[in-house]
Amino acid sequence: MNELDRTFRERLLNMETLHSTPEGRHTQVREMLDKRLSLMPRIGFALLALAGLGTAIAFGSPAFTGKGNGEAVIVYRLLMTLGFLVAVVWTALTGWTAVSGVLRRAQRPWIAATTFAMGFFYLAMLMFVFAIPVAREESRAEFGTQLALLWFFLLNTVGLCAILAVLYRGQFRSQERLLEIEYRLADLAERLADKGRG
Amino acid sequence: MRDKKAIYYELLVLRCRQRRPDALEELIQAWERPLLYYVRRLVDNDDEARLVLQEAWVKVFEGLGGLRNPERLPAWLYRIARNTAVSHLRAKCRERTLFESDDGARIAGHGDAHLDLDDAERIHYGLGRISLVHREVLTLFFLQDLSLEEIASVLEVPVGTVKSRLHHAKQALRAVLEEEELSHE
Repeated sequence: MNELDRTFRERLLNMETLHSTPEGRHTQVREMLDKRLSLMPRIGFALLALAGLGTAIAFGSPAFTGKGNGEAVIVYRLLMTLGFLVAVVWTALTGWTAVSGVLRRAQRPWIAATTFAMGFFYLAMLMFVFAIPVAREESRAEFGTQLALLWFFLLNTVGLCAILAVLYRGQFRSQERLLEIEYRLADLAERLADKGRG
Repeated sequence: MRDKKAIYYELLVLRCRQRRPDALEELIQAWERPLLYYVRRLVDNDDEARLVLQEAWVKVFEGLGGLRNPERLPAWLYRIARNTAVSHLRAKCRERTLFESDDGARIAGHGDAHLDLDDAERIHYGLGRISLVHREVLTLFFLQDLSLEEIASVLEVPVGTVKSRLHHAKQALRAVLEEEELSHE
C-alpha cells in the first residue's frame, strides 16, 4: 500500500463535488441486470404463457375430475395434479414476464426449472395418451419399465440438483465461518501488536 | 498470518457471490466514492462519470462469480472502472488517441518530484490540469487502495513503467501547481 498519510485520501475524496447515493445504487444496478424485453420476445413469452395455460387445463381436468378406482388411477391423478401445479407456476412466470416486459435475473432459474419439469410431464402425458393403449394390448411390463425409467430420470435429476445445492450452500457456510475466524484472529493480532508498540 | 484486509475482501466477495443484498450494499458503500473519484478524473463531465460508474457496477455484479483471486478485489474493481471509462471514451472520440505517451508532458528542471500533500484542494485542482496518462496513475497512487504492482495490473503496464509515469506525473503536477502559484502572485 502507498505510504502516504491515509487522511490525505479522505481529504482528496471530499474534494469531489460530484455526489452519488450509494444507498440507492444497489437497486439501480439490480434493475440494470434485469433484461428489458422488446415486443417480439414479449409476444413469445405471452405465447408460452398461453401454452402453459392450455397445459394446466389439460392436466387439471383429469386431475380433479378423473373417475375410477384402483391404484393406477390414484397414480395417474397424482401425476396429473403435479403436472397441473408445474404448468400453473410456468404460466404465472412466463405470463408475468410478458406483461411486465422484464426478464428478472432471479426468475431465470425458476423458468428453467419449470420448463424442465414441464418437459417431463409432456413426456409422461405422451406415454399415457399413446403408450397406454399400445401397452394394454401388447406388453404391460414393458410399458411399466418405460414409465419407471421416466420417473427415475426425473427424480434422479431433481435429487442431484437438490444435493448439489445443499453441498454448495454448506461449502459456502463453512468457508464463511473459517474466514470470519481468520479475520477475528488477524484483528486480534493487529490489536496486540498495536498494544505492544504503545 | 494473512493480511486483515485480504481476509475481509475474500469474505465480502464470498457473501456477494451468494447474492446477499447486505454484502452487495457493503461493497458499493465501500467503493463508490474512490471509484467515482477515479472515473471522474478520466471522463469529461459529471454525467458521464455517473454513467460510466453505473456500467462498471453492472459489470462488477455480473463478474463477481468469476473473480479468481478475491484478495485482489480493489485492483479488479479499478480495472473494471478503467476499462468501462476507456470504452466510453473510445466510443465518444474514436479518432483521438487515448492515453497518449507522456513524453510531451515531461517537465524539465524538476529533478525532485516532491509534492506538498497538505493541501488536498490544490492537488485536486492540479490533477485536473495534467495529461490523462499522468492524471490516472497519480489518482490511483493518491487514493492509496493499490500497491504499485496492482496499479500496474490495472493500467496493464510493467511496474517499472508505473514508477516512471508516477515520477513524471509528480513533476507535471508540481509544475502546474507552481504555475498556478505564480499567476496568483
